[in-house]
Amino acid sequence: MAAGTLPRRLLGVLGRRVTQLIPVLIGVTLVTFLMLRLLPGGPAQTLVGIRATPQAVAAVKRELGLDKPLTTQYIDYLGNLLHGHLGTSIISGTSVDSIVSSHLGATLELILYAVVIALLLGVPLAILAARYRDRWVDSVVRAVVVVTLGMPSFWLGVILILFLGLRLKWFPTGGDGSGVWGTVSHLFLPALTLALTFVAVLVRSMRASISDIIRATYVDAARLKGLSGPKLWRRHIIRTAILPVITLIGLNVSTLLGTSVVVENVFALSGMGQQLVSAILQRDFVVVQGITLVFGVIVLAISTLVDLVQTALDPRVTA
Amino acid sequence: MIEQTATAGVDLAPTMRPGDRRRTRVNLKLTLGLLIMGAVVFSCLGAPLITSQSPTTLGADILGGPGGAHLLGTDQYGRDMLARVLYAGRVDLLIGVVLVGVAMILGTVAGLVAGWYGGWIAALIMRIVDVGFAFPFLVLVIALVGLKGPGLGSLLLGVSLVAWIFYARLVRAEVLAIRDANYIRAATLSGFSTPRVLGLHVLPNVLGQVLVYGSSDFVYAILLGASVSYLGLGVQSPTPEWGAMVQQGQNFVASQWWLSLFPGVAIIVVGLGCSLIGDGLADVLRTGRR
Amino acid sequence: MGGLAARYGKAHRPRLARLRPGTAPSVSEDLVIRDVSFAVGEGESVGLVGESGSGKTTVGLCLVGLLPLAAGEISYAGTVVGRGGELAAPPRVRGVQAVYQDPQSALNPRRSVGSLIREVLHVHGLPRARCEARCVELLEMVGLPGSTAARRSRELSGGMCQRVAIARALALEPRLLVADEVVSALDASVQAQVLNLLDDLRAGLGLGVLLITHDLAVLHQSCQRVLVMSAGEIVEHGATAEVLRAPQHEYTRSLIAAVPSLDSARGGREAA
Repeated sequence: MAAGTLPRRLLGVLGRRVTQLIPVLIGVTLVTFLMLRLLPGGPAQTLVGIRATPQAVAAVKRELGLDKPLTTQYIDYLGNLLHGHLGTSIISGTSVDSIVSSHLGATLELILYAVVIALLLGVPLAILAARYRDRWVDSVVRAVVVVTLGMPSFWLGVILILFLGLRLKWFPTGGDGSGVWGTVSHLFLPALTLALTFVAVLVRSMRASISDIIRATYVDAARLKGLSGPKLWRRHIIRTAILPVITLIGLNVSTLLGTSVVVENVFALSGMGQQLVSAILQRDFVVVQGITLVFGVIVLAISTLVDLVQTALDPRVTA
Repeated sequence: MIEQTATAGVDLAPTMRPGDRRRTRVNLKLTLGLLIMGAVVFSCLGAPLITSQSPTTLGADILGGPGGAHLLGTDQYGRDMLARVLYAGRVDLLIGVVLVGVAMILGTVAGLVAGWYGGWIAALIMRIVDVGFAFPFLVLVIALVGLKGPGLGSLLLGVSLVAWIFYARLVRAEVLAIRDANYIRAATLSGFSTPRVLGLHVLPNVLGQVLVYGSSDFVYAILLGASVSYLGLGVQSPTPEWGAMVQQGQNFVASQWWLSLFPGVAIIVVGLGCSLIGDGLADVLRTGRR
Repeated sequence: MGGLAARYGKAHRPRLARLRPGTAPSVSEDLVIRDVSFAVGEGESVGLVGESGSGKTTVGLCLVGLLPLAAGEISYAGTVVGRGGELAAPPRVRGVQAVYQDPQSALNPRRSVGSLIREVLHVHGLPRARCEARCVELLEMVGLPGSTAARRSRELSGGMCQRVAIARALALEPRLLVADEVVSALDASVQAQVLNLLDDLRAGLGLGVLLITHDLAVLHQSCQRVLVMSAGEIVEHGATAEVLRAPQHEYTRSLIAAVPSLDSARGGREAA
């Protein structure tokens, strides 16, 4: 239906997205760049502390290139970024790149795990609610959704630790665990916490889209052809409902990443979010700057990826 | 009103829509939501009427369970939890009101300007909005809060710098949708000044959506304030705040579960009230709009 | 060039609107209006017909100053009010108003009819005390009871909404009214009533009317002269009855052929 073959369309979408991304990426780097410059009292002073001697401040300034004009500083900053240098921690002296590379994995694992749990919980619930629309099952699901939407993630985490971890002792309540099983079991409670904050959004929008599909003409046509029961659902309804779910995950990546910061701190998981908060508390702003930038880049990368997946799956999306 | 119409009709009997009648009927969700929020606001602002205890006075009864003199128990300093939850509500509700208010005003103005004028100014505003959306909201907020140093003031400032983008995007879309409506054209043709057209003709037709969004956003604002405070970057001890209270109670969760449980329940109640108000408002608007 | 306009306007009528030859609005590339020139006289009703996309609405938008002109000029009552590269002067300055197609969106849904009309009156300097009475007067002028002032558009029928929109336009005492497909969204019986109203206003107030329409029946009923537009150009003009009876241009002929109802109606009348 669409012009060109699939790879061609993908290339088209990729090209269009990348051109749109460039101004946003520049904006993102500008924000993180200005973050450090707009510190009250100036960055150098903040970095070395209020009681530092003027000589020490000047030394830091020179070391960080803060004595150059702002535009030169920004170009230098961009140049460093292009070489993969995110700066060096003032407190520990380690490079921010290595902090990111050793903690990014934990965060991505957590988010992936949470999305899987959310789908396992949310998809059946949404199908039930849509199948029995306006009956008691639907009412119960909707009531649960409304209540969960206002649930603070940190509180949910603490309550899950209390009941599933401490009282029932089903799952470990913190740490990282080792090996595949160790990771899966140690990450379960944090991932469940994060998943539950997403399930409500997932169920709400999937229930609506499935209800629409059930009433669509082509489903009626399939029914007239004698298709019914699980086969109708598998072939026509769920297949069509999967696409909006992918879109939804793309739209919520940003929120999931934000919530993961809180969840990591509830469960003392050493991911990016925990590093971010501890860097803020130590006033280690080069690290804060680097991690913030990485979060921004991840959001942009994943939303681009979701666009590509959508193009690959949906014949109606054209380049 | 409606009986009058029948005799006054000139060309056609006025078309009566079912919505006209439904509008006057009480909306169940809206009423329930308003009742919940009314009760929350009343008990937080009127906390001294409900409990004689102080939220900050230390007591001898340390980590006491719920019941008896302390309905919700006491914390590790012997402070009454009921009083703390209620007084904390004042702080959290204030955070919600300020954050939503500032974001709504800034975002509405930005969205009106971007939607009405278009051109480079709209491009500039919308690029800033895009950049804002590129970061996880919470990450950007805590990074900004961190720059100024933890505290309630930084929290309010940091969120205000970012949260307007949601309203700007919403309002711009709404303005674009009605900009070419005949009644807006007519207002322009009547020679009204741009502020008059925007303020008296465009804004009232956009405001409904903004308020619906704002009422559900209120919960997110409170959740955000509580999350930042939970992380230790927002409201600082000894001021009671729901998120910070959950964090302080977390160390005792194995045995003194009530320390973390009740502040969270308070947030959920507010969340429930606000979603009901938001849903109810949306219903009312839908029927009002035909 | 003046000669061209004189061919359209009748000599004894002061000319209200006049588009110079070569007048073209600037819009997106896909819609270019070339060389449109015509004049509308006082108390005269001129029809502008053409299929959708022919550019008739664009001409209307330029006339009221909502779209800038790329070239040419617009004059009102002998004064040039808009030149190439700019928007025409604000409509109130030169007494032109417009009413558009969709009756439901013609009125701000959140405001009462009265408050909308009074706002126009008040902003243009009528003391608040006199706005009320003038508002009722205007409503009665368009055949609505004064009590309509308390209602909102939601409570009114499509025809009533269009009447209110006309009353609102009349509040500024325009001398020219651009009526862009004002009756297209209305039922046939209501259409006739609104067209009659426009006729009455034209006769009573000396209002010039530029009636933009795609409906030849509407044109037939209420316009003395007609301009036929196709692909951004005026391809034919003349007295309505003549153009409809003996169309000169190929496009006009196809336009008339496309309306079987008009032909059969006329045929029926002749047979009777």
